[in-house]
Amino acid sequence: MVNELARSRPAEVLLVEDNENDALLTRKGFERAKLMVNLHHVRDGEECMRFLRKQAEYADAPTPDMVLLDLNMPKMDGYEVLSQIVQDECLRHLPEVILTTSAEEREILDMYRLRCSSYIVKPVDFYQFLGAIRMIGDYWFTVVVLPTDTQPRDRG
Amino acid sequence: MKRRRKADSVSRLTSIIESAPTAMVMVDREGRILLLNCEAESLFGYLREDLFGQPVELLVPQEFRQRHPDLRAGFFRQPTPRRMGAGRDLFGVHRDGSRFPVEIGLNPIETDEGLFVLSVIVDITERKRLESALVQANERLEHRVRDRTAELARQTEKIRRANEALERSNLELQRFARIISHDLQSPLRSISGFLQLLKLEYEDKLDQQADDWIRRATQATQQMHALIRDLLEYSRVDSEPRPFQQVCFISRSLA
Repeated sequence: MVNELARSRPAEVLLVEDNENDALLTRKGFERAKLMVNLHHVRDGEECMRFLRKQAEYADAPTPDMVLLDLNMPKMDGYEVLSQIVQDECLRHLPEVILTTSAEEREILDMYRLRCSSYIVKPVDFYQFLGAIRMIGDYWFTVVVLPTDTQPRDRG
Repeated sequence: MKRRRKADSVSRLTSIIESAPTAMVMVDREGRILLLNCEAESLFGYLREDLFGQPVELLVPQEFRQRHPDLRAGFFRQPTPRRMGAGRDLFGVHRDGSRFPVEIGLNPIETDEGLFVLSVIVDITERKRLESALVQANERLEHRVRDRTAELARQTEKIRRANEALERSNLELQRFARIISHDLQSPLRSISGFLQLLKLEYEDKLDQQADDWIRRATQATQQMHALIRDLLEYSRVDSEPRPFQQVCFISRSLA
C-alpha cells in the first residue's frame, strides 16, 4: 500500500521547540532531506495546544499530520502536552514523535506510557541529525499510513 | 568427781574463749556480763573488771537498750545457736560512745550455774567500708557506662547526620552534573550543527583557510561533546548503578 500523503500534498508537521537554533536546524534538516513538508513551529506547550485546537492566532492552522515534540519547554512541557493530547478525542490520533536531548530512562518510559509514537534522542552530530530527520520523514510519510478523515467517530 | 569435771570444762571453755581471735561476751539470763575475752575488751574499749556484772545493754546502742531484755528473754525460751538481729544492721557501742557495725552469733551454753549465752561479736566496719566502696565503685562505673553510652549515641547521631549530608551532597552533585551536561549539550549541538551546515553549504565557496578553521572548530565541538557525554555517563553511574556486562571484543569481520 502506497502512502496517500506522499503523492497528494506536502505533509503538515508541527515542531514544538523552545530553542530557536534547534528549530532552525530542524527546518534545515527537512529542507536538506528534500521532504515535502510544511514545517510549523511553536515555542512552548501552550502555543502547541492553541495550534492543535485552532485557537486564537491559530484559527486557520492546518491539522498537522505529525507533531515533533520537545520535552523541556517553558510554560507547558512535553509531558503535559502529550497528556492533554491523549485525553482529547479530537487530537489523540496524532502521531507524536518526541525529539529531545534527554536520554533519561525515566522520561523515555514516561512518554511511552503516555503512548508517544516514537522517542528520538537528538543526535549531537548534524549529519546524524540529518539522517534522523530523513528517516522520520521516510517512515511517517512513506512507509506508514496515516488517517485522513480525523473526525472522532460516534461509536454509541 | 563430776563437779570437778564440770569445773574443768568451764575453765577449758574460758581458755578457749580467751584465746579466740574474735570478741566474745558471755551473759546470764538477766543480761549480766559474766565473761569476756581480751578481743572484746579492745573492741569495746573497756577493761574486763569494768564490765563484770554490768548489764550487757551497756554495749548496745541507746535506741535498742529498752527492747534488748525482751529479745534476750526470747532467746532463753528457745536457746538454739543463731545469728542475732536477722536482716537488721547491728551496732556495738564503744566506751567513748562511738558505734561500729557488728555481726553477732548467739550460742547457748549449759553450765552448773545455769544457761548462759555466749555472744560472738565480729566488727564488720572494714567489710561495710569495702561494701560501700564497692557500691560506690559500681555506681561510678555505671555512671561512666551511661556517659560512654550517651557519648556513643551522640557520635552515632553525628555520623548519621554527616552521612545524610554526604548523601544529599552526592545527590546534589549528580543532579548538578546531569543538569549541567544537558544544558551544555544544547548550545553545543547548535554550534556543531551550524558549523556542519556551514561546511555543507559553503565549503567550496570559501578559501582553504576558512575550510581549515571550520574543520578545527568542528573537531573541538566533537571533543567537547565527548567530555559532556562522559560527564553525563558519570552522573548516571553514581545515581543508577548498572551491572557490568561482558562484551565481545572480536569484531565480526575477524570472527
